[in-house]
Amino acid sequence: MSVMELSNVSKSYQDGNETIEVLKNINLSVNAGEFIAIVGPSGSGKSTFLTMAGALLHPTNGSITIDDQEITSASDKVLTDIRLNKLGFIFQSAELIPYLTIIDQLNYIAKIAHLRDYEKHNLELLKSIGLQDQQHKYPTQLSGGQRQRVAIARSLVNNPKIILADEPTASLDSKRGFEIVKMLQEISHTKNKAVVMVTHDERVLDLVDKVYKIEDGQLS
Amino acid sequence: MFLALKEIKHSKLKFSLLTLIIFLIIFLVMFITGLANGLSNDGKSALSSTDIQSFVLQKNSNKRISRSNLTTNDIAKIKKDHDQLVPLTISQRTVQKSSDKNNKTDISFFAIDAKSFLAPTISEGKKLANDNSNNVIASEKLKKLGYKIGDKFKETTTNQEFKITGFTSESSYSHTPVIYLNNKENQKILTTGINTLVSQKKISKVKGFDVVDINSIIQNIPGYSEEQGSLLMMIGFLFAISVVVLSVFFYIITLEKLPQLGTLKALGTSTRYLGLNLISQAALITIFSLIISDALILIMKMSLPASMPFSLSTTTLLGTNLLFIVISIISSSISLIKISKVDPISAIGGK
Repeated sequence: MSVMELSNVSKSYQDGNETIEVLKNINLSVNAGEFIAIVGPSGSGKSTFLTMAGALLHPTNGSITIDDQEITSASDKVLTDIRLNKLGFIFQSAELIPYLTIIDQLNYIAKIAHLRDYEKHNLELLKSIGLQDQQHKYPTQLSGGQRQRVAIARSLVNNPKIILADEPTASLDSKRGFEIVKMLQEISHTKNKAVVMVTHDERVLDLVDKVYKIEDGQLS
Repeated sequence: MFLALKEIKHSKLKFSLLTLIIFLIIFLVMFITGLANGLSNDGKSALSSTDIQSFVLQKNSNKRISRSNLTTNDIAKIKKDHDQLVPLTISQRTVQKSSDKNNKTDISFFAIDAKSFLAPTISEGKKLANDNSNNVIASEKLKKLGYKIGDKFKETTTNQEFKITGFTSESSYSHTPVIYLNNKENQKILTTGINTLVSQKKISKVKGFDVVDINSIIQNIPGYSEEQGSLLMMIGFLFAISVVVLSVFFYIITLEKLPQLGTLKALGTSTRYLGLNLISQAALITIFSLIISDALILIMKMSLPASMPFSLSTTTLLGTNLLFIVISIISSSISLIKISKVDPISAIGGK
C-alpha cells in the first residue's frame, strides 16, 4: 500500500534572470514497510526532494500525496498538521532541543500532537533504543550516536506513516552509522513504516530495500 | 508553557540576569512613582483633601493664593452674590517651640472659619473654635517633629505665642506642615487682609475678581508643577527604557534560537505555539521581577524615615504591575515577527 506518491514533481528557482530547475519530473511511490534510500552527490537536489516529501515546500509542478492526502497546494497550517501527525523527521545532526531532557524531547512531540497517556509509550520507545537510564539527561551529556538514537525515538512518538531521514549517518563513524541505519531498517520492517533516507553514505545501502539515485534533478 | 518553563529551568543564569535587570527597572519606576506621589501630597494635601472647588482671588494674582489680597470691601462685594463662600488665608512662616529656642520649623498657617467646611478633622485633641484663645490645630507631621498636645510655640516674626490643642491628618502645603487657626487669631500675625474666598461648589465667574479651580491653584503652588513634571518625565523615560531593554533582550534570545525554531517548526510546532511560548516567557519573567520589587517596595515603605515623602497606594502599585506585564508583552512583539518568519526548511540539509 502506497503511503507517499510523487508524480511529475518539479521544482525550480528564480536566480536573477535565470530559472534553475532543481528537480525534474520526479515520480516515486513508497509503500508502508518499505525502506528506501536516495543517494546522490551534493547539489543534486536531495535536500530539495526531502523538503517537498516532508511537507515543508510546495512543488512548482506535479502533485504530492501523503497518506492519501493531496498536499501539493495545501496551506502552511495544513502542512504543519501533516508534519505533526503523519511524518517523523530525523535530521542530519539529531537537532535535539538543548534545554529538554531526553524524555522531554519525546514528551514535547506528544504534547503538541495532543496525544493522551503518552508517558508509558515514550518510556517504551526509550527502552527500545536502550537509553531509558539516560532519560533525565540533556543532549549535551550524550554521544553523537546516542543523540541520533533519541532523534529516531522522537520521530516515532506520533506514530507516523512515513519517517524521513536527512543524512542520519553524516556526523557518525561507520560503526555507529551502521547501527543507526540498522535501527531504521528494523523500524521499517517491524513497525510497518515507510522510511525514506537521503544519504551519500554508500556503506549502509545494503540495508535498504531500494536505492534511488538522484543526479542533476532526475531520479533513477 | 511546556517549552517556556523547561527553557527557563535549563538556562537559569540567563533568565536570572534578565529578571535582575527588569527587577531593577521596575523597582526604580516604583520608587520614583512613590516619591512623586509623596512629594505631590506634600505640596498640596492641605488643599486637595478639602472639598474646595473654586477660589475667588484678587484680579491679576496669576492663580496664586499668596498674590491675592482681598479687602473687607472686596469681601462684602463678593459675598453679596455668593454668600456660601468662606475665607482662607495662607501664610508661610517659621515657628519655634517656646521651650526650645534652637529648633525652628517652617510651617504654613491656614487661617479659616472654624465653623466652615474648611475646619480640619481632628485625629487627636480638641476641635478648632472661633474664640480668641490662641489654641491651634497642627498637622500630624509636626507630631513627628516632636510637637505634642499642649505644646506652646512662637511665630518668629511677631513673637505671638500659640498652643497646640489638637492634631489633624498629615496635612501639608508646599512641603511644610500646616497649622490651622481661626481668623481672629490670625489677625495677630497678619499684616494684610485675607487671601481668598473659597467655595465647595463650582463657581464660574465673579465680576471684578479671578475665579480659579482647585487644579489650577495646585499647579501654581510654587515649585509644584516643575517638581511633578520632572519626576513624571523620569517615569516616562523609564517605561520607554524598559520597553527597549526587554525588546532587545527577547530579540537576542530569539536570534540565538533561530535554528532550533526551524527544527521545532519542521517537527510540526505551529508558529502560534512558539509565539505564545515567547509571550509566556516574557510575562513569567516580568511577573517574577514584579513579585521581588513589590516585596522590596513594601518593606522599604515601612522602613523609610517619616521625613521622606513616599506614598504608593495599592491601586498605583497594582496599576504599575499591570502596565509592566503589558509592556513585557509589547516588547516580545518584534521577536514574534522574527519567529513567524523562521522557515522550517532551514532544518533540512544540516547547518
